[in-house]
Amino acid sequence: MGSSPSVTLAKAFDRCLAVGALAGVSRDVARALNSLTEAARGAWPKVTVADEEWARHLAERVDRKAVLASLEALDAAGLYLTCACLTGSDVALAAFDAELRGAPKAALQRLHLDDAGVDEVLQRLRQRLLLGVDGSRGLSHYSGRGRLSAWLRISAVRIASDLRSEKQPVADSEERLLSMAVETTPEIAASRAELREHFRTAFRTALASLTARQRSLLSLSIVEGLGIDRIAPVFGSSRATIARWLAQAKAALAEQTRIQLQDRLQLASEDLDLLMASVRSCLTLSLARALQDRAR
Amino acid sequence: MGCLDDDTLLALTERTLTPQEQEAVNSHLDHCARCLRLVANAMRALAAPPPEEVKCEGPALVPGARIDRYVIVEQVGTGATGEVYAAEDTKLKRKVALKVLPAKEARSSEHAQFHMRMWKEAQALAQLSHPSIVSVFDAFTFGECVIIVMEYVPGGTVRRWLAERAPSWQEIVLAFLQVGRGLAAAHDTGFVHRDVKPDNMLIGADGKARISDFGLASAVLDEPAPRAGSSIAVPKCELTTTGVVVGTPAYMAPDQLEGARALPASDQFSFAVSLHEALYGERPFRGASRSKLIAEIRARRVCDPPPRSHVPSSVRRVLLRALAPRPEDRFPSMQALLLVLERASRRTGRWVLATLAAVLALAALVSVVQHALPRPCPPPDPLLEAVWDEPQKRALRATLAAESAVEVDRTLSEYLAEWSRAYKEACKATWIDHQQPKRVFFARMTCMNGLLERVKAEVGALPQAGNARALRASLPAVNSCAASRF
Repeated sequence: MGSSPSVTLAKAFDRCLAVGALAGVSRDVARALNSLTEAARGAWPKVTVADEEWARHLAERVDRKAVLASLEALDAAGLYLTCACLTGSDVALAAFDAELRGAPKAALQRLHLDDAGVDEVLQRLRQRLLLGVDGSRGLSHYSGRGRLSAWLRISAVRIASDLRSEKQPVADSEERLLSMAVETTPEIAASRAELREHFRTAFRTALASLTARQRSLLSLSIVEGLGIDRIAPVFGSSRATIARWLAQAKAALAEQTRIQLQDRLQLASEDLDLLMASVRSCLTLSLARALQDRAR
Repeated sequence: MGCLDDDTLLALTERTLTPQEQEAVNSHLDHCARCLRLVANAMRALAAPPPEEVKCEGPALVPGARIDRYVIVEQVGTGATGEVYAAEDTKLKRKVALKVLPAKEARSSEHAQFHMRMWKEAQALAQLSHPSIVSVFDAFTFGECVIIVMEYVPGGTVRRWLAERAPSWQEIVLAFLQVGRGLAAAHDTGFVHRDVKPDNMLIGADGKARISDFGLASAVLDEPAPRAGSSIAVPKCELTTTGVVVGTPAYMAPDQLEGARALPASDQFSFAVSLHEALYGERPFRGASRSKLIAEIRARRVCDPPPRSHVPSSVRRVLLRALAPRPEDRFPSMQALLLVLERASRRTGRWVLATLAAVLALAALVSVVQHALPRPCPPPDPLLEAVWDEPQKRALRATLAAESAVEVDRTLSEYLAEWSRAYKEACKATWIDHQQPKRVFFARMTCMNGLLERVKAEVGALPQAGNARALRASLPAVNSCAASRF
């Protein structure tokens, strides 16, 4: 591209930004715009978007307080494609569909969805992004701050997650933690109903005594079956820290359960000893193992 | 903050959130199960991370990780000097405890030196075998860190044992005598523990007490003793730091606190502090800071025993001597201390045991009489009111239509009346008719208590969902507890 696109682009961009204080676009911004556009058109040679349209699309997505820095951080190719899709370009829409079959599809497969499930989610994703659900097309929400493929992946995951929540209410993750604790501990599963009931009550009280953070950790680790490597970024911590927190949470849970059980079953009996022993082993070992098996 | 939007979620998976954003996300996740699940899915949908090698980062070792011929089973504790794991020795097919020193601490030369000393000491300790000492089997370096392989003792620390079992003073003294023998044996061979405290004493499933972490903390203190008055050379002993922590001030002898080289007499002092804490529930000296603690010890201001302590004064006299500020005023050796302690506890042991038994019998009698005489089976009203009381009734009337509020009230009242009848029946059978063993009564009551908790939960959920018919269907059957037995 020569210098003329840069000039028209910069002018359009400036107009769209409509910042009074900014007397014209600086040379740096113009240069950044130019290279952004070159990269975008290089990535999608068959897709065409008018300078005016493209400049407006960009201007709506830059941080007005730091135009240059935010401009340079944008995913040019992704924004260009979404911009073209929003103008209704058939070439762009075809390219977009191909994108959907890439990263989002692979991500959904990792969620252990079957083919039909994957198709359903992709279908919904396409509808939400291209047809729009609440007036504006979902695609216009793409800010360009992350890579388009990553953003599509996240959107797909969100839809999959919502679908799962429709079928399986999310509120009772504690309940599931509980039933897993009961089921994965042979001694408890085999014990008589009232013992199980004691265990349930004790376990529930023990869970309630943990901090919210400890419960979320246990939920991610045990109910969702995430490994430490996956949990660490969620809390922005190192895997070592997460491992330590998890160990602490499990220990606290086991300890509290034991205390609760002791409170409830005042009688020393073989059953109680058995239960205690299995509670301890259950929450530290067998549960962890059972869950590793699940995660595999 | 509200639920996570796509940009935030994306930044989260790519770890590009600012600390403030991260904090906001964390707080939100703690309370939003929906977003938590969304995040879980997002993390799961990421491409698999590259398989990580086992790094020697103590707490990061996960079950299944392999260190040399040992396979990690689980983390069992966080010690002062490193993480402790239960592991399987694949060669000898036995369970062992692994103490792992974090890699990052091994990097500085100071720590390298520490590791070297520790390694040497551990190797020497490996030759020390005593039933009251947690054996050290092996010590080796793995990557940048030192691994100490120790005997695995199922059970817990003496601190936990004290808290959970509330043992009698005799049991406590017995356990400490065992620990003391281990210490004495080590002293005879030239080892000083330097960090004697209830957390470093283990009680096995076999009921035998042992001293553990032997020498693991000591090597670093083998520096030349700092001159008196120098403040920097005293090792830092903050309890919570995970760096090199040597000794625990609250249990340390004054000589050790002031930076002198630890002697067997220092172990004796720490042993006495631990025993004092075990017997009386508190440590002998109060002092928030190191200097205040030293002042208290020097002034021999030992806390008075609690008023109703059963511990005989002869045992206390043993403690007071071992707690003497000057090492030469303590017992000449651990061995000597044990001898006197054993005698002191035995002399009074039998008498106290008899008294204890009598007291216990009396207490049992009193409780039965209290139950049996004035009102053997008091009405359970307080229990029932906790489930369905006036404020709750009012609250429900405010949220439900008048008709269904009446229905709900009737349903619950009927249920609770049935519960009351079952309670009276069970109580009468045990405490009035003496037809039913007490254990059965207790079992039934624990079961029925559980019923009430469930009812309480149902009542709590009423304002959102409730109508009387659904409530009736979800109430647990009272007679499900009739067969409860332990």
